[in-house]
Amino acid sequence: MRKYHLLFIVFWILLEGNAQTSYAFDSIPSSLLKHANAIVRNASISIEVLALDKMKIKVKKIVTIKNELGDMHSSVVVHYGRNTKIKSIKTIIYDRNGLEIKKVKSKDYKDVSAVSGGTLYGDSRIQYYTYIPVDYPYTIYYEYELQTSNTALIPNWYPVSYMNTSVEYSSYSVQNFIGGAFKHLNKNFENFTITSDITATGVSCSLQDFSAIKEEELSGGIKNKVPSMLVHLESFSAYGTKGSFSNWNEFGEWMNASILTDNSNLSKHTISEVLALTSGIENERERARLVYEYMQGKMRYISVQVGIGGIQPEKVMTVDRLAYGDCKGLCVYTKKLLELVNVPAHYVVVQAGRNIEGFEKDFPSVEQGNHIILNLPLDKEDVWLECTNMNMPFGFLGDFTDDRNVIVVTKEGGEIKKTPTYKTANNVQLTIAEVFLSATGSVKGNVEITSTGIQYDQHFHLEMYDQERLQKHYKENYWDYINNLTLGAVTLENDKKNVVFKEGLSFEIGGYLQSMDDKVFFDVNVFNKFTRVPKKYRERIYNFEKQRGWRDEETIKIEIPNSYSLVSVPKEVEISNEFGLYSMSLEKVSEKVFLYKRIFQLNKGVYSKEKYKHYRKFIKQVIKYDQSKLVLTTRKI
Amino acid sequence: MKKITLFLCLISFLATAQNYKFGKVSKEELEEQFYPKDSSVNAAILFKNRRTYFDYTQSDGFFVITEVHERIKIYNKEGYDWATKEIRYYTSSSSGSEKVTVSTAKTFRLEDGKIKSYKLKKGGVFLEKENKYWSKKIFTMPNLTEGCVVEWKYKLISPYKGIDKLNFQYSIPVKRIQCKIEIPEYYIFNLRYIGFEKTSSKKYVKGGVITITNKDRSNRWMTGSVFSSSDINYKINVMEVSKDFMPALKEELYVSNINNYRTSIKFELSSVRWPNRPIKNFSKSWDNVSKTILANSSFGGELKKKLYFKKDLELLKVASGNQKELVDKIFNFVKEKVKWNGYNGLYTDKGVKVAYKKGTGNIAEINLILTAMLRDAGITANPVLVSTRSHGVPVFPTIEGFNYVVVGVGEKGGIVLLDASEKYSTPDVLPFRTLNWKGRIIRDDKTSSWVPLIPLEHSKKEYMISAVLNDNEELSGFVRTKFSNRAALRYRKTKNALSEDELLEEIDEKYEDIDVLLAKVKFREDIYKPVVESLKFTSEDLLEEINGDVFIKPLLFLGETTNPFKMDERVYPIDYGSPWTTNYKVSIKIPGNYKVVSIPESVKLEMEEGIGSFLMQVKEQNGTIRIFVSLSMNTGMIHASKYKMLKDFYRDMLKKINEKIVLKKV
Repeated sequence: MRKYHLLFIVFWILLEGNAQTSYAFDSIPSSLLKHANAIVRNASISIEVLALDKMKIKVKKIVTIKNELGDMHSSVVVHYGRNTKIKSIKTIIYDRNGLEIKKVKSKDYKDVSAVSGGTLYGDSRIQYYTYIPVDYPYTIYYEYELQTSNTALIPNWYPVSYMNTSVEYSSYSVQNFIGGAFKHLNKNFENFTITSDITATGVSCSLQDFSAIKEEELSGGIKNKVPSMLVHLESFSAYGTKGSFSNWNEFGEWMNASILTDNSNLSKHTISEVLALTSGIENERERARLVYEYMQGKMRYISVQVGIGGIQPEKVMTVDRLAYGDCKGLCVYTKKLLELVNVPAHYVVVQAGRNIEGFEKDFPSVEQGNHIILNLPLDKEDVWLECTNMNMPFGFLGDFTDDRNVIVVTKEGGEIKKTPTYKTANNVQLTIAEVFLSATGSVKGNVEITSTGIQYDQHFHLEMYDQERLQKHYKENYWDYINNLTLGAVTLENDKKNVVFKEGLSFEIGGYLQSMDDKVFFDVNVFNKFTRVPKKYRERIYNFEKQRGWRDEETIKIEIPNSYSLVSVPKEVEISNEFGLYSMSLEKVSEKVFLYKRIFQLNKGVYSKEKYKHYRKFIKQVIKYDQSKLVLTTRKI
Repeated sequence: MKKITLFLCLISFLATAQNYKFGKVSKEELEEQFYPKDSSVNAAILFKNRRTYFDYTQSDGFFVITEVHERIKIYNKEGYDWATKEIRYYTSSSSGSEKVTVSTAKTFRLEDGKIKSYKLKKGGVFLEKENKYWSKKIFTMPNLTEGCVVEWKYKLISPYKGIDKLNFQYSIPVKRIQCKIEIPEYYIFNLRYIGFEKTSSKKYVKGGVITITNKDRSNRWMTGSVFSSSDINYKINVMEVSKDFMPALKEELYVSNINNYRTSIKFELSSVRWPNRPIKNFSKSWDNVSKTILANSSFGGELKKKLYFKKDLELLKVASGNQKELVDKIFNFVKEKVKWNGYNGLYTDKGVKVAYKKGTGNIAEINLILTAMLRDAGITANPVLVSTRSHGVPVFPTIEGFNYVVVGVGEKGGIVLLDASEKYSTPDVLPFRTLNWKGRIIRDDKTSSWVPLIPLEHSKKEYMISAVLNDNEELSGFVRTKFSNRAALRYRKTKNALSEDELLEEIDEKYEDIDVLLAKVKFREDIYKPVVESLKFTSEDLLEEINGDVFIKPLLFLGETTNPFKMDERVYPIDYGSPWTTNYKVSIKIPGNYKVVSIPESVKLEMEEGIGSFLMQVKEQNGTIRIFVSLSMNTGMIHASKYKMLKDFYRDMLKKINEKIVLKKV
């Protein structure tokens, strides 16, 4: 009997011991639960540089997932490949009380190619495991160890990588056992509980009790709001070769010497095609355009995620043969084509994305940048080429890479340059229409929409749509607020040379006019109603920014039937403030003809959070004035 | 008329004039800029040939071989996905694996007016293991250009005597598709035709031979073996089905499972008739299928086990008064005790005992535990077989027709359905995934019958607003929204994980025209009651003033403004899952210095055959305007032929609820 007691006690201790490490949900401080879908309980990255070409990376992470919105934390994903090996990996799942519910076996991990749809990156692989939760909250614990010969890419520290995620404790350490200069850069360390210890041979730091932050419209990405640390070894090894740099210029030199070393050539077939295509063309820009369009017609883009496939582009020869590649491969290929016709072209590293991000000016490292484009230093201008989009006009970047600092790799080394800014005044969408009102209550007519600048970017993909999909686009998407819309054939005109996109449509809208007794109401802004109210924040935390300005202009000629007479036109409106401007007027041209004019412009700018409610109010006003009505009557006046 | 026949002749002539031998891609095919019948498509299957036949070896008996030859035209870059082929096949170590071999694959392009071909390199076919049972062979064709043609052939060899569904329709159109199915007389299959498009077929019989070799040692004088062989002649039933110019499948809103409408033929093995042996019948009726399932140890056998829950059940029984209370108690207990691991299945995986102990299980485990516990407590409870929405509607009786189990409590006519896999599900309010077709209840005495799964009771949302207009032209008041049965289930499933703050944010976003001052949600976890969401609001944005007249929408900030049905035509039924109703009761108090100029007239709209109805009543009395609006769809599924009517119904309804109340300041 006693024995049993003892056994029970031992068992109980074991049980407790098992649940101890306080993975229990209840042990999370309540301050960390607010806005949190997941809580990082304990995370650590420890990196040891053992030799110029030997680095050990140990990662451990324990995350409690509170609800299904936190499920993005339920995966363990480990990249490996030619230069990086997985030494060990372990994953355990715990329930809400911190009791183990699943130990993941090695056969449970999936091992797949990091890139689907091509064989180019056959050696970039992912091992991953995704837990399918049966109940919330639960905790995932994982740790793995990697060994790599690539010391150029030291993982940086981003202790908070998602919105709505709290961090109880997260640490980071890099120990450099081989001497040599070693750089680090802290970002946004202020306002957080952070300890850091910097020595000549290493850094270590930790973040404690970080309460989850939530998404706010127009406040940019998470990177600017949370702490991070970037680390870089001045001398390192990458892909089997040694290298070193301490500024962006040297970074460029190193790229030239070690990364962009491919000297394979284009096939004879390609060479002859390109030469034939450009023969006799004197103008450098024109030759470049022909070559760019040649590439677009021939190549296919396969996407490769950041950090996969390394930073070395595929050989030109291979890209030429396979007719596909990722951004790096397509850029070196296009560069080679351009050089063939004597157009200079530079390889450009950029941080791409709708959200504009640049480079750390004084902190060169391989980890920055996620995309490659080309820079053509022509006589009169810099031309920039996006080589992964097969429909983009020559020299057009769009909102993926515009208006930001990039690293241009020239023969002389790296140089920081800025990509073009699309200015508000040029980012215009022009809508011109003729609308005929009918006594039956329907309206019909035709409309032409012309987009330029950054607005071109939002329209030109329509070119790839067929008529059926176009109809769907206008009915279910672009004009989803219009009921009973019938469209004739859509004509599109893509002037790539001038970057102007035109859409022409004829339309009929049944029951558009609303009648009440003898009065008839016509909603004047038929084609470009602003409908989206900016999200309301009871307490806004971050300042806000409009990264790109734009301007919409409408001119609509309205003709009313003879049986109708005018009762009233809406009052003229003109609002102008720091956020932009809005003006609207309806002018009587003749008894039966009216002219509606509207301008709505939103400026590029950075504003303090206190101004957000004014901004919201402005937009709400616009929405209201976009509902303005022309009032007619069937009565004889 | 003549023109049409001529045209048809021409088409069939063109279709037959093509050379469909592998590699004989024509210049015309490569030069074709767009699909002739629909210029908008990105790719088209120029030709697909499938032959499925049975082969015999003495060691393995009959096995099934399917040979496929596909030629696909890629018109533009959007169509490049069609140059990647995935072939899924069954691999099981215990019962025998299928084998796939890609014999040849080429890309054809036109270069300087000449046809050039590029072979898929050796090693270009990748193997991916999906899970324990399924694998995939994947390959991507090289050297694609706009306008190129890709072509391949592969073979699938299966030890299973089944014939995979013949698909005739895809998300891209098909110029010509032909299938030839050759079945030895010993195997009898049932066929079922699915979809809206017609195909042409012919059937005939041909002969086949099996050669059996016998090894004989009976000869005394010889030391070696003697081989003798004998031939068995048998009949092969051949079926050829073909179609020229098959249109692509369409994408539409409110379609639960497109496979229900894809033009295809399904095969079911119904019996095997070997000469001189009794006929072996396979499941042929749903009753049969049900019996087979019940007889399976992972179903019927697991259902009989009860020792594992005895103790817990005793405790539950003690505290329960009447039978209904006991059912609810056991239902809630199982929900809490065993959580769903996300897997469907007719059969248990690890078994009910393990699931019970571990606290997680698949659908069969959870709902068989529930059935067994209810039965043991003296309640009439039976498993009900279900095919989920993603599983589609089975076309003939097979075990594979079902993939899910729920529980039916009670006797004929009064059966209440339970599903313990969904936390927020209540009796007769099942998760959306199960609202498909009909269920098959299997009783303890081995009888079975159909039970409807699509509920008759409407999923219900009821809005109540009481608002007051003040002198500053502000409207303020209260909104109370009641979500009942399936609407409540959906609300709880999507919103219960949110904190108070997050919920308030969602509400803010849902109602952008009002300022929400206070929000409260009642009965979030009390699942036997409707969810009630209460708000206090104020708004300056609900009035519109034109020339001194004030206009107000009767439903203020509620009610739809746009028609969800925008396209002109519809091919597939509109599938809501269940009938539904939304009601609005609004009262607006008008201050004394306003007078009511006009209110919208009351109206009632009804769709044919009682499919749906709309009612709007507006009354004014002593300075208060009362509005009542009710919108109902009385069926979960509306046939596509009624689409125009539905669209027009929505149009008229929207016009009505967007009419205005007009006031004037006096």
